[in-house]
Amino acid sequence: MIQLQPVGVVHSPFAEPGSVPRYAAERANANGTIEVFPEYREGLKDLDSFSHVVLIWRFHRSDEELLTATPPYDVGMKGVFATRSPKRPNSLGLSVVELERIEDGIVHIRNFDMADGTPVLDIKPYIPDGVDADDVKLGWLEAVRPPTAVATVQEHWRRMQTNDFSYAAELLAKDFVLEWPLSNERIRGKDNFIAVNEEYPANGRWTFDVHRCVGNAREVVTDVSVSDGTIKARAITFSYVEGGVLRRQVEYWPEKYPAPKNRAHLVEPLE
Amino acid sequence: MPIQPAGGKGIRGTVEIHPEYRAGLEDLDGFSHIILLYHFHKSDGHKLRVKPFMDSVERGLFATRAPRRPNAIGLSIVKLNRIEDCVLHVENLDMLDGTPVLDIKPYVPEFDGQVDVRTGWLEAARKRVADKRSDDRFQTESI
Repeated sequence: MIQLQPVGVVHSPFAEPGSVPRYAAERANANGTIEVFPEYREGLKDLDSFSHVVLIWRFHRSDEELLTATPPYDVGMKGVFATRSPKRPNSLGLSVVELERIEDGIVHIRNFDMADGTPVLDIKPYIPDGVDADDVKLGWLEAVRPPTAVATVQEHWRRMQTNDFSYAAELLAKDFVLEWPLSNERIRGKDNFIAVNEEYPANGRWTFDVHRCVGNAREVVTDVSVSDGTIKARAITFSYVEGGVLRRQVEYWPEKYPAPKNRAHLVEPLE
Repeated sequence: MPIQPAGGKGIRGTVEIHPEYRAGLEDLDGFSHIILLYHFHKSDGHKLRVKPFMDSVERGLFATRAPRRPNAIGLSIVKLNRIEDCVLHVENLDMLDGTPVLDIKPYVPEFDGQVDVRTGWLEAARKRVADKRSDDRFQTESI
């Protein structure tokens, strides 16, 4: 039988397995480290050129090997191989996490779900799996799955509508970037996002009227009318969602212009 | 054998689950993709520096998918076509015949599928992966 020896240990803000995030949105801003044991550190060379790593680890608090599991949704018992339950044959866990940096054998990671003290068995570079998100079927999870990218973006506009921009910024990644190509501007980070909205010389409360919101598993496009009661504008926004939070937005604020006369015989007015 | 999942595209095979674990397969058939964790059973010992098959420079072991690792666990994402009794019919397989499977997990894109990624030294090599297979396979095919 295969012999397993930890190559390192996780230091994490989640002290108990019960406090570990279960949904993508909850793990997005988690920061932690893997302490790789000195005898294995040579193997970390070149790993820092990757943005994500795959960790294989042991559910060390549960050596129960059950064949059924009750997921954290109200869906009843499932076969253990159709779940990510810790109580499974061989007690192996798997996580794809963000790699921030490596310093003296300490691997700094983000966006993860391991409890403090978790023994790490293997670290592999993450390579895109080539799975087309639109082809994926999620069985029983389909009905109860964590918020989709479209739902996350709808929630973003709902929060913008409250005019509480700090509240809206909770749905943004730490390294969030907003780009406005028409004015050649880029806004980096949550704090600047909040400030740019709060400091804008608005005439009244902002309203955000979402006309369309379409997308796939990670990219969402919205068509939104924005107004402060006086100014009326329209924004076409491409939002990129990862780990349940908005990572990047590219937003176009188109200007109206009069219909050219040369094609008047081919067109009709919209309204 | 194919050296990366992309190289196993279209290759079909089966995973036979031992009967005592059969109850664990309940509800798995609704998933289109699964993650297999398995033992690199033909691999022995490990080296912390390896020269990857598609590279000419020595790399740190953990920056590669080389099979000779401190814990010889392999990972593949495959398409699940159907389940018959204890047999999973899968596609896009890149594992050796007889590979012992340690775990099966449902593939969930929110957790397992990142797209905005940097792949370091592999960046250039990756584009060639789909066409390239390991030396042994190349020989058998050319016989």
